[in-house]
Parts: sequence; C-alpha cells; structure tokens
Amino acid sequence: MIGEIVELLHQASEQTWHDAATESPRVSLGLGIDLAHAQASLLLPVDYQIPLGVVDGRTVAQLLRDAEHRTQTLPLHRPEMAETSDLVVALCDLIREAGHLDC
Amino acid sequence: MTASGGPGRYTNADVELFDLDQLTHTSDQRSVGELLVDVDRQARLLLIDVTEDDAAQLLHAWPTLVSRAVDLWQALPHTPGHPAQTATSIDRVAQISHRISQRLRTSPWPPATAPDPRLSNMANTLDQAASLVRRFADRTPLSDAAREDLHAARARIMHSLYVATHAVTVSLLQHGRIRYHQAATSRRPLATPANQTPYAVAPTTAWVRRMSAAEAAAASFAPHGRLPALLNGEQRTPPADAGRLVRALAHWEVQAHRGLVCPDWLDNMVLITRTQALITGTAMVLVTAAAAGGILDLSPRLGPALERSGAAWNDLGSRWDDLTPANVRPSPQLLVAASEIRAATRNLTHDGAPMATPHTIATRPGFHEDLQAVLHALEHADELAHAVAEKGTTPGLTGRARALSIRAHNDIEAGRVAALEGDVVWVSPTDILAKHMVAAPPPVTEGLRASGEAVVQAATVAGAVASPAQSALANAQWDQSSAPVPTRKQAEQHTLSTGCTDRSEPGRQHR
Repeated sequence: MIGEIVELLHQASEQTWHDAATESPRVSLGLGIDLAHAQASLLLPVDYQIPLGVVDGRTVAQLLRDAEHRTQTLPLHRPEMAETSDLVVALCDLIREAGHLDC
Repeated sequence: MTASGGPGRYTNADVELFDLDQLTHTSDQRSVGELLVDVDRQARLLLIDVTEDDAAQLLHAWPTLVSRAVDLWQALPHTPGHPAQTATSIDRVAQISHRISQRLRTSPWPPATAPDPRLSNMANTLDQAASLVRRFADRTPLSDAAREDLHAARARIMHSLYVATHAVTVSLLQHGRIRYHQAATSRRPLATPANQTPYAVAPTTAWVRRMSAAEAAAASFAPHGRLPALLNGEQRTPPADAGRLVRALAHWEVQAHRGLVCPDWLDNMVLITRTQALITGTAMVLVTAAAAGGILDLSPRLGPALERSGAAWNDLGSRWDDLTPANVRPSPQLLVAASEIRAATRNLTHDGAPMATPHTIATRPGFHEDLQAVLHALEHADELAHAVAEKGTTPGLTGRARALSIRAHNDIEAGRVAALEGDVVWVSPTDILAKHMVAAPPPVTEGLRASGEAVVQAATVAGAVASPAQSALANAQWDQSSAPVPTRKQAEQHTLSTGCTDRSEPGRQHR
C-alpha cells in the first residue's frame, strides 16, 4: 500500500515539476510533494522496488487524493506506521494547495 | 414485566434488555471499527476543506469532540503495557479542552454560535462507538488479536483528534490572516509584532496557542514518541518569525553540502536541485514585491538572470529525477532542512494556498531581512552549483529505463546533444517494458553534464547581479516603520514576468 502511495506521489511530482520552471506556486507545491514522497519512501523497506506504472491522465490533485485514499487502510497502530499520521496531514495540506492552484 | 416480577424468569443482568435508555436505538449497523474509520475520514475531509469562516464554529465544537473521544477512550477495555494506549496524550488534550471550554463561556471571541456540524458529526459518531463499547464490550481476558484491535482503535482515535485539531489551527490562522490584511488597508492597521506571527492577531492569539498545544499533545500519541521534526517545526514556529527564513537558508546551505558528500548522495540530488529552484523562484517573487514597494531599484538584468537560474536548476532537477529510483530515501537532515525552507518561503510568499500579492509580501514583518537573506543565498549559490555539476560526471550512473529513453531522444531532437547517424535505440525496449534501472546512455550523461554547466553559469550570473542589490539593501538602512507603504495599485503594476516555462523539459510521451 505504501508502495502505491510512493508511486502516486512520484507521478504527481513529475507532473507538477513538468511545467513549473520558475513560477513559484507550482515549484513550492512540487517540493512539498517531493517531501511527502520522501516521507512515504522512508516507511518502506530499504530494498523495496516500486513498479512504476504508465503515466495516466489523472491530475495532480486527483493523484494526491488517490494517495490519501490509500492511507485510510494503513494500520496506524503499528510502531513502524507511527509516522503515517504526519504523512496524512501532509497529503491533506497538499490536496488543498493543489486545489487552489487548479493542478 | 420486571426482572424480579416473574418468578425466576429474568436475572438482574437482563434488566437492561428492556430499558429503552440502555438500548442503542439506531438503524446504523456499523461496528466500532467502522465508526472509527468514518471519524478518521471526516477529519481528513475537514482538513482538506477548512476555511477561515469556520474558525468560530470549529472552536465551539472542538471541546465536545474531545470529550466524546475521551469517553470512548475510557470505555475501551484497559490493557496495560502497550505504548499505544498511554493515557498521557489524551489526558493532556482533555485538560486543554477543558480550559478552552471554560474560556469559551467568558471570552468575547469567538461569539456564541452553533458548533461546526462536521466536528459535531464526528463527536456523535464517537459517542455512538462509545455507546456500543459500553453496551457490548467483552470484559473477559482479551486474545492477542483482540488486544491488537484495541490498540488500533486507540491509535485511530488519537490520529483523528490530531487531524481535526490541526484543521482548527489552520482555520484560526486563516482567520487571523484575513483580519490582519483587512486591518492593514484600514486607517488603524494592527501592530506587527517583531517575532511573532502577524496572523495570530488578537483575539485569535490565545486560541492559536492553545490549539497548537492540543495539536502537539495529540500528535505525541505515536509509539516511542517519534514525531517527524519537519512537520512539528512547521506548526510550532511562528509563521512570520522575522529570522525564520534567514535561519532556514543558513541551515540549508550546510545540509545541502553535507548531502552531496555523504555515501548516499544520489538520493539527495533531486531534493537539493529542486530546493535551489524554489529558493531562486522565491527570490524572484521577493524582488518583484520589493520593486513594487519601492524598496529596491530593480536592475533590468536581475529578473532575467533569476529566471534563467530557476529554469536551469529545475531542468537539472528533472534530469537527476530520471536517475533516481522511485523509492528514493533522502537524508533525514536534508529533508528537515528542505521542509523548513519550503515552510519559511511559503509564509512569506503565500496567503494560505494561493500566492500573496506583492503588496502583501512587501509589507510583511521581516521582509527586508528575508530579502537580504535570499539575495545573499543567491550570491553563494554558485558554490553549490559547482559541487552539484561535478556529480554529473560520476561514472556508472543508472536510471529508470523509460525516463532515460525519453530523455535521450528528446535531447537529441532538441539539438542539446550531438546526434549519431541513424536511429539509435538507446535503451532496450525489454528494459523499458520490465521497468528496469539501466545504465545512463551517452546522450543522457552528456545532457546531464551540459545541464550542470548551465546551472553553474546561470547561478554565477544571478549571484553577480544579486550582489549589488544585496549591498544596496544593506546600505539603505531601510527602516520599516518609515518606509513608504506602497498602495495596492502600485504593487500590482510592478510585476516581473514569471511566465518562464522550462522549454528544455522533455515531453513525457514515450518514444
């Protein structure tokens, strides 16, 4: 499940940075997604391989929502999942930001 | 019919079977676990949709939510010895909630209003779960599986409280921000505290402080007390602390150089380059605001130089992204530093999620110091650019097959690297199909080196152009209190072109 979240965030990051250049709002959003992506990656085992899917037509906001949706089934009570709450908060913040930027 | 009425027909324990108040009269068939999942979901939706207009209603509803959460927590069977069920966090949140509840009765703000329906709904759901637990919980010794389920329930309660509390804090800060800006345009602007968030303006100051404490207490439920320092820093540090960006940039410079020399430097490259792109982009926004506010005479070279530098960092970042596996694990210290940069820059350049106007940015507390700090960072960015560019010459770089194939073909098509005769298949279709990590083909490594050199060149030019601006600022002895505050109209007329799009970014169509 975390692997899917990482994959979705990776896709969202690529899309956000694609047209960002120097325009600050998208750059900031892109870096935020990268940070959430790294947060999620740190929850994975070191050698875990992510099978990257083909880039589809989902928007950044949709990808973020899908990632947040997948966090709902994570076992929050397990010690190794202790930082998932923070990932959820980060995702919700990013969804709000992406919504304002019409990404 | 009574329990004792019939001769031995009912025991005392059966009384409640006929007590209407004891029965859970509901058509809702959800289990306790399902109800808790629902509360979790509602908390997330609240955080996504919260606005400044919700602040008063949320504050009025929050103590009830906590009260219901505490009820449920106490109704759950007690199983000592597991960190997830420590009562410290919930007790602390309950204490804060109690004080907030008392204060709400006497405080002039927020005015009496109906509680927020979303938080009330969450509270009702928790109440329903508590009712089910009290009524049907098995008090016999629990199996291991049941104990695990219990720990999960406690974790979900605290998690939902944490997210909901964060939503209340977000709403309060948004409310304060609106008040601050409204007052700024009136004849009686609010005083701008030197080292405090201007958005926690009275009367929201105390509420922000209390809710932040509650949020921290709720967040501390995590087993072993592990909380990512990045998010904690973002929430606890006053948003417009005048020295925040200055400190963040200094910390970033150290961590970025460390990130380049550590054994796992490859995992840090994307974060380093993209954070540099953000710093450059922020510099553009601040310079625009400074020019609009009459704080800085805008050199005609500064804007284009910053644009080129930002685009160059972005291009290099996307190239390193191709060479990085999806499960990249940047150094935790670098993550903290980058998060702090993002948080500090957003506080300066953003109004909530969207961008702030140049007028708003130029009149923020600490703007002068932050502008100087960013320009100073640009002056020295070429050192980092050199170090980053050197990494592009590392032999044996590998990357994602599909991304490298696209990059190689697009670079050749765009004339960025020399083309060989004939149509060369740079990455095997088998590797692309199997999603392998493959050795970077020559056009990719050549393009990476060229992009690194472009970053060095652009950063050097930007630093050279930023240097006089930074000196001028330092010499101006600008006094914020006596500086002319630009009108909104003036501010909107002075805008730099930010329409730069990275033309070098390859298309994402698979070739």
